[in-house]
Amino acid sequence: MSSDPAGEKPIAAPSKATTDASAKAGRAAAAEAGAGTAAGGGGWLGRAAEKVPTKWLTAAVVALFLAATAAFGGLEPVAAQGPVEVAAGEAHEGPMVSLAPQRAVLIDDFVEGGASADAEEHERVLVVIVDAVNVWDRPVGGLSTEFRETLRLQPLPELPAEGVARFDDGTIGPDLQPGVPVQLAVSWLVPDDAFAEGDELRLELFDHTLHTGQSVTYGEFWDDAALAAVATLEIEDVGAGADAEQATP
Amino acid sequence: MKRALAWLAGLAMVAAAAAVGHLTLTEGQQQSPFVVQAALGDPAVGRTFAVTVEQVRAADAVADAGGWHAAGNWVVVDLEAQARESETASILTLIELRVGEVVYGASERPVSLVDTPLSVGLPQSGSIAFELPESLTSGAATLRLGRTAEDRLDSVAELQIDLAALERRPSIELRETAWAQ
Repeated sequence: MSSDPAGEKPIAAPSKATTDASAKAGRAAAAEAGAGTAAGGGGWLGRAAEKVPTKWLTAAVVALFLAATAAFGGLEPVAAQGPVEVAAGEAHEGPMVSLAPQRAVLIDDFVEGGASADAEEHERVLVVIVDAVNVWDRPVGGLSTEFRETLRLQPLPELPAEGVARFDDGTIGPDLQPGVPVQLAVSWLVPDDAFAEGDELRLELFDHTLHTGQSVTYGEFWDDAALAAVATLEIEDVGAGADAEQATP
Repeated sequence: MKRALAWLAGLAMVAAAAAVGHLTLTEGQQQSPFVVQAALGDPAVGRTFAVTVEQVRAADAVADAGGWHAAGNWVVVDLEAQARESETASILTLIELRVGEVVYGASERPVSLVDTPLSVGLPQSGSIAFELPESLTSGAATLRLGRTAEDRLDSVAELQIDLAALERRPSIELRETAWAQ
């Protein structure tokens, strides 16, 4: 029984020796062939190739890869960067727009801002006044998907903004021109029991990534919205609104 | 001799490849718009439209005939525009002012020539207003007018403007869009 491995060894050893020998012979032949073509100018290349320690190459590459991985923190999980907390009136500068949410107002209806609530459907309007500056190099549409995606209500994350209007002259869906600050009233149609006077509204601010079209797409576009900051605003309930109060004696 | 020839041929091929690489137009160049250079007072005729920019001024406030007014750093362009072959979808949807790499769109806040369908052979007179950042009062700007915001391979009228040289008024009332006299 024990003679088997012993018997194998002598056979294995010579076979390894022969492979080494044949490899050496092969290399020698290659070198010779290289030397033979040296007249044509390729000799030095063959000799240089001969000197490359192929045996250690794989190990060296693996070691280099591991060293690089270790240099970047190895397999340690990357610390997740949570959203930044933003106070009322404080600006969060994203790559597309800089947004400074000022205050939040709950109102029965806000047709002039582009959000018309149906009281029978138990809808009210939540309006956020926000100072915005387009920091990109071309206009951003106020009612564009990418702009509306930058502001979301934390309790209702899937609800898109219904209306975006300028606070000064009431232009609905204004274009934000680069570098021109504008105060906007962004409004959402919300269930009338979702928010109340004095509640703290958690307003999420998202950052997009600018993509450049390739092959079948063209131009530049914003996509991949990621939560970047959260603003906390106290909600003020103005009922039917100041205008309505003045209108009804 | 043979060896020198091989080297020469190789170098020649590398040079030829470099030349082809440099001379071939990029995708942007292949699809670039056909620019019609406009001058103040002269008609600039594009494929589907013709415009005559009459004057360009700057203002610290603008108003429209409907009573809307706003302060700011404005550039106001007075122009005449008409369609050429068809009145279908004849609105000039490319109206922009380029300053370096930055693009400003025509303001939709006042009532202006923006979004006005053009007529064939009947020029309309009106104004376009651009709202710029407060600090932007000098530098070279390009007014670009075209049929579609997608300007590739279509004609675009361009007018070079020196922002610092513009006549600056405290306030300008935009022209009411009307048939040109």
